[in-house]
Amino acid sequence: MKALSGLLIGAIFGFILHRGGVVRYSRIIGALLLRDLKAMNFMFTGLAVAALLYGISDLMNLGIVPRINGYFGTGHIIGGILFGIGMAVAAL
Amino acid sequence: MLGIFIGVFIYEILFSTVSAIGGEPSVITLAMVFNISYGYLAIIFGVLFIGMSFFLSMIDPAKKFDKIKEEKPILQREWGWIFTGAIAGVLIFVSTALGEYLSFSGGFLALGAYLSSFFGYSFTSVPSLNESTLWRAMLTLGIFPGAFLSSYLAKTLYQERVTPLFQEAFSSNMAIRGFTVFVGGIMMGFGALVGGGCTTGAFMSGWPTLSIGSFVMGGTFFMAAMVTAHIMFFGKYRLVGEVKEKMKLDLAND
Repeated sequence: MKALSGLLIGAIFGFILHRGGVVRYSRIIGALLLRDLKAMNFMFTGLAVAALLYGISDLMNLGIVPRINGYFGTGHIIGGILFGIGMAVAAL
Repeated sequence: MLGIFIGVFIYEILFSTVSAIGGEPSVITLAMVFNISYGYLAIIFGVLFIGMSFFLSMIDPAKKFDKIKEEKPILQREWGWIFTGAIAGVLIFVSTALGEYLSFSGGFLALGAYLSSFFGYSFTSVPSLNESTLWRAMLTLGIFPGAFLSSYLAKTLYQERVTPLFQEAFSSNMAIRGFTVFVGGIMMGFGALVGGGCTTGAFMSGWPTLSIGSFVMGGTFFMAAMVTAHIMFFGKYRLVGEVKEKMKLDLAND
């Protein structure tokens, strides 16, 4: 049952990514060149809504606690540089 | 796709070396640094970023190109960032409420582990296949029918194979475009696993948790991506606007 919820969330997310135009080449490259900010706005809104919901549920003690990605120094920098170059080259 | 999986497999093969970089991860968030309540800080953070989105949308240089195609029926046209962004945010929250975490780099790793387990190989970087890894694998699998459905409804399945901006800036050769996606995919798959997250996992899902690790990763990859994009498009920056205007770029041809 739970696996199905994963499939469903993934499908809605895929639908939204395509439908919001965030998968378009000109949108990704445009965002990186600061010439088309829609993809940026999509991501900022998504993370803002998630932050608001987390914040509200934390203050109301709903017990919904996000998993925190650990901090491990240089790994972030090496991985980030590789991922960033890949992101611009593929524009995904 | 194939590129990302190759990136995942390289990570798996190099796992023992790569996981030693930087040592043990430590859980640290912005709320801990400032020593204030997570809830309040998350709300301030959320309000700040929504405000920023509206501000950026006002100064967006590409906005004028999006006005033209409003007349298409709703299932065929592209939707705005407020609606789609908000749904993405809710999905991130729902995933957490289910006890999971919405991220695709981890998802591809889990999917890779499942697929290879059919061939009798078990990933050392994914110690056990359980309910949580299955959830992530299914999440990643779900992306494809979801995006396919959107594309089918928008009647964009048979669009031009090389996107016009790439043709104008570099080449209309399908093999060259395919190669860039392939190489980029390998770097993204591998880089995301080494650095602790992709655009979704480290940025969209990671930043709301105020995780310092996600801030560092998100900041680094955006800087690297911007520098790379500027090098690639050096002297060709105007093309983004010009091609958009000339070709009337939308979901169907981009």
